[in-house]
Amino acid sequence: MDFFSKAARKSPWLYRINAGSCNGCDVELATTACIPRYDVERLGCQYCGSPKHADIVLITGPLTARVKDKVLRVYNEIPDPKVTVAVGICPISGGVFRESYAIEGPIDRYLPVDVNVPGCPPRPQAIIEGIAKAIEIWAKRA
Amino acid sequence: MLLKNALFLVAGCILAQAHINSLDELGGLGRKMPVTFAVFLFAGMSLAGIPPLNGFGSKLMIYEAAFEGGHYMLGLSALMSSLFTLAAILKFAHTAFMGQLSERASKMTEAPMVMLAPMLLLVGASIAVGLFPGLLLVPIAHLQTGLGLEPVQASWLGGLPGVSSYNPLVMTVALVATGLIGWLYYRLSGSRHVTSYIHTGGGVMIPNARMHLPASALYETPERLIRLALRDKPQVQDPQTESHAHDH
Amino acid sequence: MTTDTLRTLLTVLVFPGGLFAMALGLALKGVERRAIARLQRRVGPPLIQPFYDLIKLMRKRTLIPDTANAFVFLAVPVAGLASMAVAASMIPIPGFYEPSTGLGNLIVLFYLISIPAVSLMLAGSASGSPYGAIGFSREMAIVLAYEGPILLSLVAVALHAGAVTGQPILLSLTEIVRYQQEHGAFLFDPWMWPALLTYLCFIPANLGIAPFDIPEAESEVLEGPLVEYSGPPLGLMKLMSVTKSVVVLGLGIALFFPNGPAGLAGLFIFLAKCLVLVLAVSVLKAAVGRMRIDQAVLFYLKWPELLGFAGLALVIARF
Repeated sequence: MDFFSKAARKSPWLYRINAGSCNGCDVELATTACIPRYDVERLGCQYCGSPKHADIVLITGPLTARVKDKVLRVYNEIPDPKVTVAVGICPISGGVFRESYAIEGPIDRYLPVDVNVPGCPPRPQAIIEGIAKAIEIWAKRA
Repeated sequence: MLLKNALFLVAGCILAQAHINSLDELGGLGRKMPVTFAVFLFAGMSLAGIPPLNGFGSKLMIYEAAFEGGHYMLGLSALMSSLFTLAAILKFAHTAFMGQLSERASKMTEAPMVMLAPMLLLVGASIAVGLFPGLLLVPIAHLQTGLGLEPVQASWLGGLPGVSSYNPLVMTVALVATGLIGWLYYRLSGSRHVTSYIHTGGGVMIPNARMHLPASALYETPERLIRLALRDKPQVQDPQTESHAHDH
Repeated sequence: MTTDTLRTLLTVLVFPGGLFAMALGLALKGVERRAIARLQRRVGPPLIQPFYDLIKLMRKRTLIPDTANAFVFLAVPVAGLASMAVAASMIPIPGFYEPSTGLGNLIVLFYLISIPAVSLMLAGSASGSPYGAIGFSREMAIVLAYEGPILLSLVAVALHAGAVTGQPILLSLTEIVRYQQEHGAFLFDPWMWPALLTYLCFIPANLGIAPFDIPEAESEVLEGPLVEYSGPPLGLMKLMSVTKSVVVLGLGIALFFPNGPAGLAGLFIFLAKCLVLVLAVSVLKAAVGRMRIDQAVLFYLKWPELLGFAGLALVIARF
C-alpha cells in the first residue's frame, strides 16, 4: 500500500444520492451519522455539496422508474475511483416497494454496488460500519 | 491607452460577425474565439488593476500620489472604482465568452488574422511596458534633463518611481515562481483529464439558453440595493414574455 | 541585485510565503475543523486531515465540463495560489522576518488579497455551470460590500502610522510593524478600535466563514464556483483558500498587534496569535448559521462601513 492509498484511506468524501427513497435513510445519513454520538467526521469523512468532489457515494431508495436516468447521470458525474454503498433495504431488494410497477431496482442491475447496508432504516452504527468497509475498498482503489 | 484600445478591438471583432445590440445574445464565445478571449481577459484584468499586469502600476502611482498629497477621499474612491471596473469586466467576460454557447455565438468563428494582429501588437506592447517600465521612463528622464527639469528616477530594469518600491519585474518573477508550485502539483498528480458534463442535479435536455445566466441576471443583489436606495420600483418582468421577446 | 532577487525568490517560495504559508494554512484548517467538532461534542477529524485531503485529491480524475473554458478552468487555481503565496511573503513576522522591498507596499498587498476572489469568480464563470455563475454573482456582490470597509480600515491605520511618524501616510507594512514594536500596539489604542473592529468584520466575509459563506454554500448553490471542480484543481482551490486565511490573519496581526520578541520566539508568538484567531473564527463558524446574500451585503454596507468611516474620521480628527 503506497503513500497515496494511506492518505486516501484517511480522507473519503461522501455524497448522498436519493433514488426515490422515503427519506428515512436520508434522515439517518444526514443527521444521526453526523451528530456527536455517531460522528462520521472522525473517519475523515465529509459530506460534499457536489458529486464531482465525492469518493464514496451512498445511495438510498429503490430506484424508481421516474428517477432512474437522473440517478445514473449523477452517478456518472462522480470521478473515478469511487465506491458505492447501498444504504437501506430498498436499493438491495426494493423493500416494502418490491414488485411495484414504479420500481426499476434492485439497484445493482445498473450500478456496481460495493457494500450493502440493509435495514429500514439501518441503525447509525450499521451505516458507519458500512462506510468503514467502503473506506477499506476505497483505499485499495485509490 | 494600450488596454482600452485592445478592448475596443475585441468588441469590434465580435460586432463584425454578429450585429448584436444586447450582451444577452452572446455566450460561450471563449471556445469559438480563443485568441480574442485571451486578449480580452488580459486587457480586462489589466484594466481592473490585477498585479502584476500593466494597469496596476499606473493605478498604484495614482493612489500613492493621492494619499501623499492628502487627498484621502480621492484615493479611496479611486481604489473602490477599480473594483467596479473589475465587476464590469467580469460581467462582460462571463456573458460573452463563458458558459453555454448561444444560438448566435455557435455560428461565429475566430476573427481573421488582420483583426487579431493589431490586438496582439497592443497586448505585446502592454506586456513590455508593464514588465519594464524603464522602456518609457528612461527616455522621459532624458527629455526632462534636456529641458532642465528634475528627472524621474528610472533605470532599464528598475521599478516604478515613487515611495512604493514596487517593481513589476520582481512581482512577475515571484508570481511565476510560485505558480510553478501549483503546476508541480498538477504534474505530480498525473491525474487523467476526462471530459464530462456539468452538474444539473440529474436534469437532462435543458436548452442551452436556460443554462446560461444572462448579463441581466448577474449582480442582482447590489442592483436591488441600489434601486432600494434610490427608491426606484424594481422592474418586474414576466420570464415568459421575456423569452418570447428573445425568440424574435 | 542577484543575491537580493534570490532572497526574494526564497522568501516567496519557501518561507514565509509558498510552502510555509500553505503548510501553516492547512494546519490551521485542521485546528479549525477539530475545534468545531469539539464545540459540537464530536470527536472530529485528525489535526492533519487537510493534508490527507490534499494528497487524496491528487489521485482523483480531473473532470472538465464540455461547456468549460478548459484553460481558464485549470489556470485560475494556480494563479490564485501563486498570488496568495507571494502575499504571504509580504507579511512581516515581527522580530523574525522582514519582507523584501521589491514586491511593494500595503496597496499591492491589498490588490493581491483580492485575486483569490477574482479567481473564484472566473472559476465559477469558466465552468459553464449555472450554479457556478450564481456563485460568481454572489461572490462579486459580497466583494463589493466588504472591500469598502477593509479599505477604510487599512487607510486609517496607514494614516495614523504616517501621522505619528511625521509623514502624510505610511504604506510600508514593515515600517508600521516597526513603529508598533517601539511604541506599543494599535490594539491598545482606543482611537484605533473602530478600525480594528472593521478589520475583524472583514475576516469572515473574505475567508468565506459562516455567516458569510454564501457564495460557496454547499446546500444552496452546491459550493458555487467549485461545483465543477474535481481532483487536483479542487485541491489547489482548497489550498488557495487556506493560504488566504494565513495572509488575512497575518495582515491583521501585523496591522494591529505585531508585538513579539526577536528571534525564533517571535515566530512562535506569531503562530500563537494565528491560533487564537483561528479558534475565535471556529467559535463563530460553529455558533451561527448562514445569512441570505442580501442580508450579508446590507450588513456590510451598514455597520462595518460606518465603523470604517468612524475609524478614519477619528484618525483624521486626532491629528
